[in-house]
Amino acid sequence: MIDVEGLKAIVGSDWVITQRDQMQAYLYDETTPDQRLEPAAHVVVVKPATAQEISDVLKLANRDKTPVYPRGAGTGLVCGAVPTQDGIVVSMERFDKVEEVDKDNLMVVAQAGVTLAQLLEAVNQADLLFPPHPGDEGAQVGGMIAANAGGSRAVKYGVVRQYVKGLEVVLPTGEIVTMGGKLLKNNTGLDLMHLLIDSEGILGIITKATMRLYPKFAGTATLVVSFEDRHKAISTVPKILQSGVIPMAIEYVDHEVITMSATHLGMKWPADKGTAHLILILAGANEDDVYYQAETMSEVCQKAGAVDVLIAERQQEQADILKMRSEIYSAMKPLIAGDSDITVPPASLGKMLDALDEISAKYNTKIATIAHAGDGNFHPYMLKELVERGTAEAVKMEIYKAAIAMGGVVTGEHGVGKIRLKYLGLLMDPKQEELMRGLKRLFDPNNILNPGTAIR
Amino acid sequence: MFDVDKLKAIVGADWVVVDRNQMASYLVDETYTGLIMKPADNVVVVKPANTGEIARILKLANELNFPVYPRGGGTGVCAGSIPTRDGVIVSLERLDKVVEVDRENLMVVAEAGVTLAQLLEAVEAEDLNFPPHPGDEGAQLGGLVACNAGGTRAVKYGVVRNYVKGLEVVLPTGETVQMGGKLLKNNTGLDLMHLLIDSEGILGIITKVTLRLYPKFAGPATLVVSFDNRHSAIRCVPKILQAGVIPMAIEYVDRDLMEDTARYLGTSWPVTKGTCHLIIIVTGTNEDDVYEQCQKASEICEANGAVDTLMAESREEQAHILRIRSEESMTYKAQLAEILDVTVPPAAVGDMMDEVDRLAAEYKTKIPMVAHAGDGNFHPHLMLELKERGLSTEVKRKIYSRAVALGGVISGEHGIGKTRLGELEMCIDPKSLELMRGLKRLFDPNGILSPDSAIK
Repeated sequence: MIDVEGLKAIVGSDWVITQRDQMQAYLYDETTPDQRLEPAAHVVVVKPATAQEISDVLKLANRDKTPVYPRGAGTGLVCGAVPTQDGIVVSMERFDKVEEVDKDNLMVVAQAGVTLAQLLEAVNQADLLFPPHPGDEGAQVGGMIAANAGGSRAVKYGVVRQYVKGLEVVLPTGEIVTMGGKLLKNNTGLDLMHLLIDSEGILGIITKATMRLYPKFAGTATLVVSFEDRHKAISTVPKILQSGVIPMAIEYVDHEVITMSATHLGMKWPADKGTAHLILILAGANEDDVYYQAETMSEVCQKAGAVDVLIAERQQEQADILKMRSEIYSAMKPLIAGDSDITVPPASLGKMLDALDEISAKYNTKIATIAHAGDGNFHPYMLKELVERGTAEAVKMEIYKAAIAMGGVVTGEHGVGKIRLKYLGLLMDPKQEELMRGLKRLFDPNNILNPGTAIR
Repeated sequence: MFDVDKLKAIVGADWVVVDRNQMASYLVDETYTGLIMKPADNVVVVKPANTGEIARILKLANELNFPVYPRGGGTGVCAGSIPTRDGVIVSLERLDKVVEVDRENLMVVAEAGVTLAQLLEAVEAEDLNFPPHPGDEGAQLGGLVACNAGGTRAVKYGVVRNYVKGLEVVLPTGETVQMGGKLLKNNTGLDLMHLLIDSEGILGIITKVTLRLYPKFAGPATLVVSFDNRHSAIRCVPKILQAGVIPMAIEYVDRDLMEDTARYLGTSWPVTKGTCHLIIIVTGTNEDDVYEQCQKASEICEANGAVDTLMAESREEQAHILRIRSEESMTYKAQLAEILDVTVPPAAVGDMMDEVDRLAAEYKTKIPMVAHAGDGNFHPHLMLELKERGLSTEVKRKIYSRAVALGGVISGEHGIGKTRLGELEMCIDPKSLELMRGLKRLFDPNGILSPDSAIK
């Protein structure tokens, strides 16, 4: 069914994998085991070098109606990249060049297979900054854009969408188009580029991106603010944002959860008071600016009832705090059955956490949470035992319903992928789903590109 | 054709205007007289009170197959809202409520007929800030979003798109849908909301908007930096940004244009040195921050060819400078045929302006220009006399050609509307145009909403 010879003729036989045992890494992503979908039995992996090769692969796929699954780094959490039907996995790994860091235009042009780590390094070397830190540094540019990656810095620096100014895309029908460019304003016709952003690989394969850069910030400071209860912590967030200082990150953590992470790492969490913490990361144009921000934050938090404020200025201290926060998921992994990725209006976060408490009590379980408190996006962790008891799905639905009732959505950053399709009906009216299907049909009449993903 | 009685039954007889004399102001917008299209002979204006009435009007339009033209503040400059076919103008003027300024979530919810002036007032009353200043304060929110308005502050504060978090839209087929909400992260399905932004009224009628707000900033302070050489001026811009100073606005102006404008206004331009200026407007987190940014920007300019720097701190001084800059087209208004809205990569602005000067000399005409130097968007003014000589289209296309060759587009802020349809293909490839047409057909199968606009 899959024209392997045809594929070899396009990319070269060195770049086609047909042996199952040689392609294991390409059949999975980072979706948690309990939510994972099985890859199909007959999969071929190809590794093209150019947009033209991808174009030819897609034309071949259209001819044969063979599904094509674009593959970045496989850091996704919703099976977006998993080939659930027999088909072709197109790996973007050879698109690994940062083509240009344009200091005069403050733009970077990078191929879709460039990793976040590579991008950050190239940009850093030019003494510039790509401000958002959307996630796993192994993630690739194409995937970050197809998923409109978010991360902890969204409150100050926004999500990836804001930085994308141009794309080169191979459409499902094979045409190679350029959208946008090194442009900060662009109002020409309907915005196909913005439609491609967050399209989760179903409207086209991104091959190159032009993204906006910024000057480096001069310094950072990290504050760990402790509160007696979660409400005091969460209700401080709007006060912080109204103060005029916009921290680079505002992370909420339960004391219990962060200390578990610290122990797991063999480290010590520096704050021993309170049951809930806000971690504020401040970035400034110079030391005075950082100092001013830290002072202002301290005042605001103390006025709001914080029981302790710790300011870390040394690099190592800050790195340690960040590490303990970043490794929470790994610390909890053995105990949890997947995480959710819910976003509510930021001021509703306190209410949402209360709802989580109620749900926990109802199902006699514990639901730990970390939250990007500045933007209303949070990740509740359900314990494995819920799966064993057969109640995981029920708990998840209650969490989703509670979030939606507050004006929220079931995914803020990770996307719908294949595993969240069944929840779409909860939030989207039928007309919008109809339009999305229509969009998909328009771009991909034969439905060959990443079928079964993002929309139903 | 459009059954006035049925329209009266929907909105009430008081809110239907059939008398041509009573609808004169709805038949024009701010497009230049030389450029604007003639409104059709048979036009009816309706003024619905709410979304429900708009939905019924659109359903009727589909049933009876008549064109509908959404009307906001009428501040557009490419004839977007002109009814060029017999049809119904739907004025959004009665949807004029600021529904909510939500300090806790830092969001404002407002109906589409709310003007920019109203919005700014409501937001400032809550001690908050809607940072972009996208243009005419008589513009309405629906129009600002449908046009993804830009303005002078884009270099620091981005364009309207960055602030739109939720929309209520009535689709051409009459369904009312909610997209997004008070959410800073939202990755659910294909992004219809971002498609509606900058859709110039052809994919739906926006009825309500949720926008992100910010705390007030300190400042502004205004610098007028003089240079003897345009390229020296333009080259300072990336250096300023790379140094970590992101001014709220960086405007390039030729001194003689400022002097002519000042004279026209019966006042004087406060700077007598140099042949051109960068007007740099700075905002920050506090006064020290503003001062430091001004210092740094001045130093950089002085090290790169500036012959003079004027710093204006008082309100009056700054307002005076801003006014002259804003009124620049007034000087020539009677002689103007058209203002172009070209955007190139910011670093190419100098080259682009040289090309315009070269064309002006070649065609023995005057083409004054102002540039948003921070974002690459600039406005060459074509004179009536050039049009009378039958040469303005030729000159325009040469300007566009050069812009596209430099990686630019033919509209950065004002949109395509009806006046730029002829040149759309200069910067959009055929496949993308085909997709845009497909999108239009998907949303509006009967082609009733704002036909002949934005795309062709």
